[in-house]
Amino acid sequence: MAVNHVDLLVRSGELFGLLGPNGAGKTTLIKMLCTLILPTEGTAKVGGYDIVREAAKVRESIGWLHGETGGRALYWRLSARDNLRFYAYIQNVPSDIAQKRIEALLEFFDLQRDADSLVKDYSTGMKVRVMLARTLLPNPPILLLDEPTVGLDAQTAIETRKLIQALNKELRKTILLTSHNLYEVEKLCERVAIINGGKIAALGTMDQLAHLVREAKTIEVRLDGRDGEVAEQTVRGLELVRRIVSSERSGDGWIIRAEVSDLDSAIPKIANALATGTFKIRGITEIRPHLEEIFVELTEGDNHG
Amino acid sequence: MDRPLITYFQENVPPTRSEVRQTWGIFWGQIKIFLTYRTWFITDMFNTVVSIAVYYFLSLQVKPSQLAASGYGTSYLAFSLIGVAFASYLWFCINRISHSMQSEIREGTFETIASSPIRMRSYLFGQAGRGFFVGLYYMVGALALGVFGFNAPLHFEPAALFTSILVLVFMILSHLGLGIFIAGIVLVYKQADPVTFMVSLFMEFFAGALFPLQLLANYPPLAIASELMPYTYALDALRKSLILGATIASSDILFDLAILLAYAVILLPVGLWSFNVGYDRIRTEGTTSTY
Repeated sequence: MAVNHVDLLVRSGELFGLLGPNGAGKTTLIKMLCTLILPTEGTAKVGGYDIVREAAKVRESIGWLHGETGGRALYWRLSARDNLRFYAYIQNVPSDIAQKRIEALLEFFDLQRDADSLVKDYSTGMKVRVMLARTLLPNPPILLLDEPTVGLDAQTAIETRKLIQALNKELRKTILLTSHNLYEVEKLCERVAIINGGKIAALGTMDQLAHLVREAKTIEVRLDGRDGEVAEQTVRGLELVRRIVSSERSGDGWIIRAEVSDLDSAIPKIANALATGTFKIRGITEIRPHLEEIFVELTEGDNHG
Repeated sequence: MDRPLITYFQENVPPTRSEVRQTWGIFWGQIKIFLTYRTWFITDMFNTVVSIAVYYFLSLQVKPSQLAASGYGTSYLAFSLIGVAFASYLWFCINRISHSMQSEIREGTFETIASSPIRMRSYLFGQAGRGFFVGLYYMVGALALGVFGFNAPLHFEPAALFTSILVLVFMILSHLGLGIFIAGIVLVYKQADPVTFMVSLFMEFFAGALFPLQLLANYPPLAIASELMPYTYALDALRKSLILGATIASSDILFDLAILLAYAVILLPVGLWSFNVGYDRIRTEGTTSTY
């Protein structure tokens, strides 16, 4: 069973990330939301419409990008412009509006020069750009972006991320994003769900996910000067410090990382303790694990490729 | 860019929900794709010339008296030319829908269609329209070659031509359901070649594309099978109009048209229903693409 009792709510206007190792059920879930796969039990609604009983309404509300196919889902014997014109027909986009949007999208995705060449002669990156343009063309309120930047060059990937953000922030589009690029998800998404073995393994904001994988919090203390060993002893001596994770020189300063039992009181207590000495504090901050660490910890041992 | 991309998406435009426009979109896209296959186009034309030359050779071997008994004149070339040209046309059209389906599932484009708001019947009619339109080109080419290249005696007076066009439309309608039915099989089993080959073989044989059906009289099961084939009635009407010059006023033609209409009324809903059953099945199995 690819997806098993997934209970998930993506709020209207939210940019939501869906992560999971290969074979975890991400694409199956998205295909269900696209009405391409019928659930054997349970229900799902997209834009308020039931994916089984109101499939036509759902299809009118969504734009689906399956980036991982590397452009296979395009008509390779049509040009980019004709692919978009074809899509405008089947997506019910009025011709005059479609014409304007197609030209704007071709320009934005730097496809104008080759817009009338057959897609079969395009590079993978160009095909993905055509797919992105196609997804946006009907201007649906909900976007299901499955690997939207895979195969794109760095510059286009950056521009695409900015566009995704703008679509969400300025036009309030609800976006469900999956990506193997964890940096991308961390940068773009307000909330993230990690799916593993067809089930939701974790769900929340980045802070909430960070707390799931790390019981104790880590504090980073940055100091001026090179006498860090003494400062390390001071920090180590505090009751709420469980252990020193690392203590090392960094340029003309020193960085101490310590695991603490209580984050709220740790920062002022460490600051007070160090203030009694001759140390000059540059900053004390909480270190949040990166999404990559969270992902690995929550899916460890289940990534079968 | 004159203005930022995002501004093109700020206006809330109501969708144009027209099934005719959707069908046209599929037809338009498929024709554009077809026009990129130049080599295939030339090879097909070559095949048409060769097959007509073969029937011309056969016509030299068949005695006119043998054929006259069937009631379609005395030219075997005219007899077989109509039988084969229209059978090939029909086979091409039926095959086209299932072949398109097969390739769209393999390429992943079917998922794009299936996740869009297009009605499945608009998609199928658009695909079928492409097949009937492109097939028409070959059929007209074959008839023209037979008439002008090999002197096949056919009637093209306005009344006979109008009648044959009408029969052609009814023939298409009566077989469309069959094409859609086979497309439903392709959805589930991802292969249709054995089915379409069998259908085309049965169609040509039982409708008497190459021989008068009177020859089956001594084999009652085969004669009954022949009477059950809609193509039998289409071919009868086409031969009567194009070889004998019969018109819509003829009771024989009207009878054939009525039978074809009955087949259309029965087979089209059956085809659409079975396609939907297949479509739901692949959605349950999660096999809307196989790449």
